Amino acid sequence: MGHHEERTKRVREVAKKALEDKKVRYFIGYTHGTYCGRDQPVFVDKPTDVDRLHWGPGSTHNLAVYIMDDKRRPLKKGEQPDKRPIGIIVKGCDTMGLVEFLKERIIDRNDVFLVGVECDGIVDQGKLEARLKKEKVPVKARLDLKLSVEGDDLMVEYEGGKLKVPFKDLMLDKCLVCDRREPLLHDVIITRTGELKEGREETAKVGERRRNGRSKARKEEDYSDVKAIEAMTLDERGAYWEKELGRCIRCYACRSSCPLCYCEQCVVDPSNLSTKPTTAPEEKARRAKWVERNNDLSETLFFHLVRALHTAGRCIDCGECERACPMDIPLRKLTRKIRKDMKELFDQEAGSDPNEKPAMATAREEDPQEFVR
Amino acid sequence: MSGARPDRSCGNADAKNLYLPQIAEIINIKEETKGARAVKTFRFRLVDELAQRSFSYRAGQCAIVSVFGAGECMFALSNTPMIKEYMEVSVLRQGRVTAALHALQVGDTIGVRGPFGNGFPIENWVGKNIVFVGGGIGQAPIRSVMNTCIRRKGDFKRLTLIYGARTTADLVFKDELDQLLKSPDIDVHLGIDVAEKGWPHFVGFVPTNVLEVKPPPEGSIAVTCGPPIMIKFVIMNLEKLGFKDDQIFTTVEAKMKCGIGKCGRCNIGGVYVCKDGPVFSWKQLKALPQEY
Amino acid sequence: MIQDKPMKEGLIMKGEVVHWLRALVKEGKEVLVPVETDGKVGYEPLASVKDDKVLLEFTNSHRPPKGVVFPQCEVLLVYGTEKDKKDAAGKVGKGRMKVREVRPEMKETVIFAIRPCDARAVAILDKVFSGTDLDPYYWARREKVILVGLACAEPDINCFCTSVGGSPGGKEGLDVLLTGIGGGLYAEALTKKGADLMGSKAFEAPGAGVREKAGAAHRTAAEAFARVLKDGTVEPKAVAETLTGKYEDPYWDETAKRCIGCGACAFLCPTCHCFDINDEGTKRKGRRVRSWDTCQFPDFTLHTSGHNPRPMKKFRIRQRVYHKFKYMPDNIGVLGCVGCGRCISMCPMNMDIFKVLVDVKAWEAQAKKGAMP
Repeated sequence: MGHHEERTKRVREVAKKALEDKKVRYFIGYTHGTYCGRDQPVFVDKPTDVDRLHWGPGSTHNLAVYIMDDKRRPLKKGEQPDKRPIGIIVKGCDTMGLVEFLKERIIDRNDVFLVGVECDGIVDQGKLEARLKKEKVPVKARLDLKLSVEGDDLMVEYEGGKLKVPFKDLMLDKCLVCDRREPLLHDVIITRTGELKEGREETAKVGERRRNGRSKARKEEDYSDVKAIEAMTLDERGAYWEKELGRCIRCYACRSSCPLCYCEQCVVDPSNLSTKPTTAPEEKARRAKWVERNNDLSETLFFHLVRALHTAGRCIDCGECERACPMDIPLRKLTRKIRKDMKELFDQEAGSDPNEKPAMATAREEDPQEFVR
Repeated sequence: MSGARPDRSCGNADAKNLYLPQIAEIINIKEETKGARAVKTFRFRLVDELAQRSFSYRAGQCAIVSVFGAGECMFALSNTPMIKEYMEVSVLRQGRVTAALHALQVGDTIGVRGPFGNGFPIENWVGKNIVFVGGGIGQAPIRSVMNTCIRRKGDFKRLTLIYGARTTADLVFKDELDQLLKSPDIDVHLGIDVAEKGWPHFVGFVPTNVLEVKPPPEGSIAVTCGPPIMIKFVIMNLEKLGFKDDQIFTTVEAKMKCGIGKCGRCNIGGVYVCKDGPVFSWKQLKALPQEY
Repeated sequence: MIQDKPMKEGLIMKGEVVHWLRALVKEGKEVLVPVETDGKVGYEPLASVKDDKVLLEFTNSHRPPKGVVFPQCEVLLVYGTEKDKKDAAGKVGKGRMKVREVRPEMKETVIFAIRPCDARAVAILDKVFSGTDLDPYYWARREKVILVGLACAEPDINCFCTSVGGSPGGKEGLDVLLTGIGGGLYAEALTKKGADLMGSKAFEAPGAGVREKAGAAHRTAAEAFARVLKDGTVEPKAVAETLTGKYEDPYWDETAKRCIGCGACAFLCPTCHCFDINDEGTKRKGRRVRSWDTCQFPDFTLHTSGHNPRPMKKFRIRQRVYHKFKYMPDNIGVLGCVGCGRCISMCPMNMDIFKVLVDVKAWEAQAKKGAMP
């Protein structure tokens, strides 16, 4: 029995108890998706529905993306605000995003009940489907896949056969270099062997824990993908980004899928959700339009470069932007460049310490100042 | 159907380009209200005289006005189509385009596309009483159909106007209303939400005034425009008075861009507000999803 | 089922196809062919593609070729004031504002190996952009486009064209349909434009039984589909009727919960056609541009006053399904979906329109049962 079954059992137990005790309003977790063994997010509000929840190698999504929607939902007429938290199943990488939420004070720690699950890596659906195509597994057989992990291998069971592949061959790129498999924030931890450890993290000590106890796999982040681009000449780099970003169709999936892109008024997104019935006409009239909706290269470059810069000190590299992008633009390379710069220039790492002040809102005397001449 | 192509008469790339605005000059600007809820009536005529003479529309139809550089907005043509020399739109300053429009002067240029929409089915109302119920800037489309009915006196029986706004400062077309109060062609009932010194007419919300005035439903048509909340209660009260859902007409506001039912923005249920509306009977509106 | 005798038919060996296409380029036509770049198939101009890169075997292109007739952004008009002029009396007269339409100009363009679903989608767009208020920009492009379809030999995992009235060998919208038969392609002209393309000597007379073999190939491909509605296909009238009266069903709220409003579904859909119009420039000079938009964006219906008729996701998801499966059937008699499955494959949260159709068919079956005496 793979450890995912154990973790699934625990997730259901925790959710059932929390819902029965009415400790949370509802749970956001993972359930089986509709094709190729993937998962989909699920919202469970009844203890009798917890069997829909599960946890496995397909539990890709960063469920923190739903938090702001919940916070911003207008109350119905006569509805009293419910102060209970929402329960969320989170992986190590997801909790780093929540660290940023706490830093920015956009949520209170008690707004969320975090079920942290220790993770061994997540399947890259694209790689899996490519492998199945290569093995000539017919589409009918690929529809209802069963994924499980045995040791270092991923077992892919399909109708009429099965495949055993080294898990690292089919893992998300970000998981191959992961150094954050243990959740930093948690109200409950479910270990990789299915053990349940109750108790909230010592929020004051999170930063220290992160600094002292990074996963045994890596002590430093691996930026070789970013370094490969830094090694290009300016012309090569220009050509590379023109080619990659030139495909952008301005669908804003990257912005929609990023939990930290919660601004209602966004510099690079011409839509304006902060218009309320009470917004004054003068304010609406004066709102600047920084970028047009067309996908000329200059507008697109502006969109992506400015957006990347706005992730400085905040992006924790959950990779959802790249996963959501329908045009396969290597967005993580941009955001990780910014992450690398933040580490090198300011010794700052987003998502590691909720007690820090937001990086771009802090100035220290020792900050580099080469631009001051 | 293989090689399905619609018949040539509509797939013709030489047909009129409805996205292309005609150039118009602003010949008069009237400040109807000031301040946070500033309304101005813009009178304009197409620069091409022939085009202006042949620009014809039905009351209730709209035009898309271009304020070049800022964008376009759809407005109800607020003067009666029986006037051929110019068109008017009455504009509440709300956002970027309307602010840019409000900043224009007499002599400035705008673009005009249209007319779009269905207009009021006045021909079906001949011989009936018509009750116009307007609130705030909603009086703009009503003015068009109301003045048409007044001009065509004899075609209709009793004409009634029930119009109200938040304060006297928010009443639009004040000078025309003063004239209409004296006119034998229409019974005018004005109102403001909260009492003001020297205000001789009704004090209260427009829907309440409707119950006060008690227009009889037999042989009558009601036309109402205004803020969504007002329309909701006006319709409720008209029904209380015995009006059926096919006797009540209103206009629906929606965010619009193309004006010709292609861009999808104003699609509600099976209709496009720009093309199949903005005039709908309450009967038609009830059948649509409540997404307006 | 093969019915009438085709307008013109032929058999071209697979090795001759590229020569045939290059001859069309020599005639002055633009020819777009499917090529694979970084693991994704897209349509590129043949002039910049090597012979051996032209694909004859692929499931479907990543993006539909709808951009050829309805590009992501196009300029509708340019506007500008003429310079202020001094008249004979020395008085400065204000320069007149002039508006000039920018009519798209295109060479005759052959889209080679478009799939039947995407061609059917173009036929749907034809209906949308016609009518008494026809769209001259769309037609200026559409008139120049010739569609040479390639029948599908194998479906992709999310293909479901057969459930919405389509077929791997469907002919709607096409000028020519090619079907792979052994080492050759059976070609059937469906319009005069298509017949004119087949003048090349590369087309031999097909032998006896080839046409029947093509029909059999279409049926074989249809049998390989993973996603097929068990209760029969979705018919425009029937589904429109089933959906009437389900507006307020809590189903839409449940389904919408995991959607993040990213818009990837609409932007990669071959039938989606919503667009935005914006001015770019100053009040004296600039251009008016239209660009793709989607009813899935939260600001799509947002009024300047701050009122939003579709403030919650459930309204927007409902709108997508209803527009495609009720409003379009009611208004123009066709479904707004061709079953290409791209929206399913692209969605980062596993929204699944096929699953919605399964549920709608279940409602249909229930209603029938209820109606039976």
